Amino acid sequence: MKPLIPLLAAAAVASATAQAADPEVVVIGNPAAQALTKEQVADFFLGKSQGMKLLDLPNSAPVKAVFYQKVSGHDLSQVKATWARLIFTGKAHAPKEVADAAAVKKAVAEDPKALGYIQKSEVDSSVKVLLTLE
Amino acid sequence: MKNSAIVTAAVSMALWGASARAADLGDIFQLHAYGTLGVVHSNQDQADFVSSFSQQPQGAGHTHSWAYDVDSKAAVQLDAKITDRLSAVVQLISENDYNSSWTGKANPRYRPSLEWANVKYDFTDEFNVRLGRMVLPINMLSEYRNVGYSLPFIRPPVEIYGPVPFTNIDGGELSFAKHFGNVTNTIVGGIGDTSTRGGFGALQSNLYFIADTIESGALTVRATFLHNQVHAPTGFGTLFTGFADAAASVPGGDAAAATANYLDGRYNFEHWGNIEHSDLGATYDPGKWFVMSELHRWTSRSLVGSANAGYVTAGFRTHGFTPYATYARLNSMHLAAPAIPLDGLPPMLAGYGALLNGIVAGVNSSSESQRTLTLGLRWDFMKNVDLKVQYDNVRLDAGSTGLFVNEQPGFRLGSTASVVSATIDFVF
Repeated sequence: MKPLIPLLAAAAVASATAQAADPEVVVIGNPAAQALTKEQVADFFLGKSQGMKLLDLPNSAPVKAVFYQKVSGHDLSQVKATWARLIFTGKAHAPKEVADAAAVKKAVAEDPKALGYIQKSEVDSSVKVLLTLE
Repeated sequence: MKNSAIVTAAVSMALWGASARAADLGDIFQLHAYGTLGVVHSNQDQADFVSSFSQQPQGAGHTHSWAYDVDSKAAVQLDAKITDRLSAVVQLISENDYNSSWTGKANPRYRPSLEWANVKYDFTDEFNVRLGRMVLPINMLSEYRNVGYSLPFIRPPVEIYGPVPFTNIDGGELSFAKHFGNVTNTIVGGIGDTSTRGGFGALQSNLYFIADTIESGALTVRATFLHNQVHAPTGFGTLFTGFADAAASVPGGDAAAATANYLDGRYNFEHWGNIEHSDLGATYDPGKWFVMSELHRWTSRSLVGSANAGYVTAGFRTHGFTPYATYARLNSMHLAAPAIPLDGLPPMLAGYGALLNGIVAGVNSSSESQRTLTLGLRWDFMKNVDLKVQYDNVRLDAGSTGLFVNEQPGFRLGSTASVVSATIDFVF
């Protein structure tokens, strides 16, 4: 029994450290929306698929860089360049930038076609988690 | 006039539709802008280095040792999402281009011109139609070739992007996308017309195209075929036909007359002539590095000849820096033409015929063949802005004028030029 306690303590410290370093990001939508695969989310947030109303956080939100890195392998300036290509040919409407996670949750709760990303810790019952990013 | 009317109607309809909705304006309208501030220095001072051989009247080298007008440009774009299915876009651009989009006539450089103005209707998420003035996707990067921020290099390789004078068309296009698991295939077909005034003079064009793009993860492959019927209001006039009429009225001059008429059909743009374009491009961009390549070919029996061109670019990203290198090559050629037979013609007519043969020989021996080696560095130092520096080594084939303009008497064919450029690109 005794060796377990330091082990559990170590595990707790390890997971806490991991969470501080890398916030767990989830993709959220309206409670009526369907779950999505990582490829589908990548296609929407890089403009390759249309049909959803996309919500972005400002660049100052750390979860934004983590989200795009996990979903596409690209950093924020590459994502911006990809969107620039689509916007400046009229092929896609840019994601709407909202101020914070609360604004994302409010927008997806109101619109079945809205998609956003927030930290897992900020999820509440007004929204549905469509994908958890590892 | 007809095209301006269609474009104006499309834009007015879009704006009326948008203003009729009492919803949040920020949801309907989005305003974007992009631009580049750049400076270029070329050590070839007997000609000008330009990024668009057919569109830019001057550049770096002879006209200015350090030129701002090769790459500097700015554009604003207004997008309107009128309903779930209907959207519209208008883009105005200001650049070093003596083509006016409003009238098809010569234009003071940097006067804002209407680059696109079109309405798009989504039948489904995969199938849409676009009407009005839209981009002509003749090359892989055509759709955003002016948006410096979206490109790894300062300018798309001039071997492919320099010679083509048309950047947009007035007409319609249908786009159909299909998803197969991880793979998306998009086919776009369009038809329309355009006009431009550029290095080739004033040109009008009727064209249709079909483009197919396959995307799967980091890989994108794209093929385009475009058929262009081109015509100029002023070409050779009666230069060849005048000779043909005179030769036909002389005994034994029928062969000469027939050849002159044939040459008139091929080289005189007052007759509609065909130019066919095919393009194949691919990009592989997993994130930390990328490679991009494109091959383009155009063929015609006309004054503009034919060409094969291609480039390959590669780069990698580290700590906000993206160094890159490009190799690009243009082979230009002309289809052979018969000479007018001069035997047995009276001396003055023979002299006239020899002059025409000289003109055709001059056209057919002209060449723009060249290759460029490029090394550059991009730095994303702040949000929405980047800085690039680039070195281009441009070597002309023997006997070639390359894609330089404003050649001076001291210009040596087949020479090599070193070009250094720096730009700041922004988007918002």
